[in-house]
Amino acid sequence: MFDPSVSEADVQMQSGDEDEPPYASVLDAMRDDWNVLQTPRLPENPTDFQTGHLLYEYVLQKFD
Amino acid sequence: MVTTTGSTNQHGLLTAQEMAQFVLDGYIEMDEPVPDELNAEVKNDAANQPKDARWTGLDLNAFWDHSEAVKEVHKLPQFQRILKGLMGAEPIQNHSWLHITPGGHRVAQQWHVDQDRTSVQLIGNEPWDFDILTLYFPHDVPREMGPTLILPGSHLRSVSGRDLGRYKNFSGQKHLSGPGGRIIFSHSLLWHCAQPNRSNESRYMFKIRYNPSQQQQGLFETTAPDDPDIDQYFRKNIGRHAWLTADNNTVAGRVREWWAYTNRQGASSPKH
Repeated sequence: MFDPSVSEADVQMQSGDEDEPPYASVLDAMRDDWNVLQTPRLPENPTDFQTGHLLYEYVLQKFD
Repeated sequence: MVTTTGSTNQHGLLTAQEMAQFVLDGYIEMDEPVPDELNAEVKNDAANQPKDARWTGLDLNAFWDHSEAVKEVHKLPQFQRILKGLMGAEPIQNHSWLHITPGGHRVAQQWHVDQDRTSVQLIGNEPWDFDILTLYFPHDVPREMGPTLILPGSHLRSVSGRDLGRYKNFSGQKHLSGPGGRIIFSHSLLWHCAQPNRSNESRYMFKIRYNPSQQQQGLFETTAPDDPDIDQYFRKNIGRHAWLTADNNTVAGRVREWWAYTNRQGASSPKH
């Protein structure tokens, strides 16, 4: 998460600072007033062990 | 490069169950910790090593060469038993490094795989070679001191090492916090990152990368190919790593393939 309300002197969200996801699903986040943008699914059909972009990616944004 | 010698096998071989756990999780912890006196010596050496040797970044074995105590630690039979079970009789010490994180360091390292892995594929490669990273914590490392964070099971996924930095947290991530004297044996492709040190004291972690000098087959106490205990263990733990989600079954298949390879008896031979 990138939060502009966090001051420059403080640390943004980083690896290891949350062991549990804040929501069980994107739908749950929507119920808590997050806006959702689903990024386009680019044409790729990788096998499980090839690298590539994320196929089902969502961007969540919230204004308080 | 340093070849390890002078080890003993007085603690027996790595067991099939231990190896199966390593195959599944990508890491295994030494069962008997380093004695307190040795830990204290290593910590003292770390705190008093010449600063130039610490930071030049050129001499990759600077601390190893500086500290007799740290060499003693890695000769311990409980260490050698696991190392040889994973790597064979004469693993090659590729390099080592003393990681120092000063107290008050607030920024976490990004998730990564050592030696940026942009095209290397573990899965399906024959033979199933792997390197080992050993992580030695010479002192107590509570959560606030931020020991290494690892993602169990991640060694079985192909990934571009630098891209991992995009992720922040995973369900199932494991903080390696705990008492001093622990050594973790990590598969070289296990995703990991250093954590912030919110205490007032420096955190020390000594890491060695080992390369195998032979095929990694039949190095532990192998068992029958259809051993029901191992079979049941893999079946029972198919959903062990929650973050794998829909890929559980595919990864489980690769676990079986790797197991069939590494559990083969009498096939060990020197690498060309």
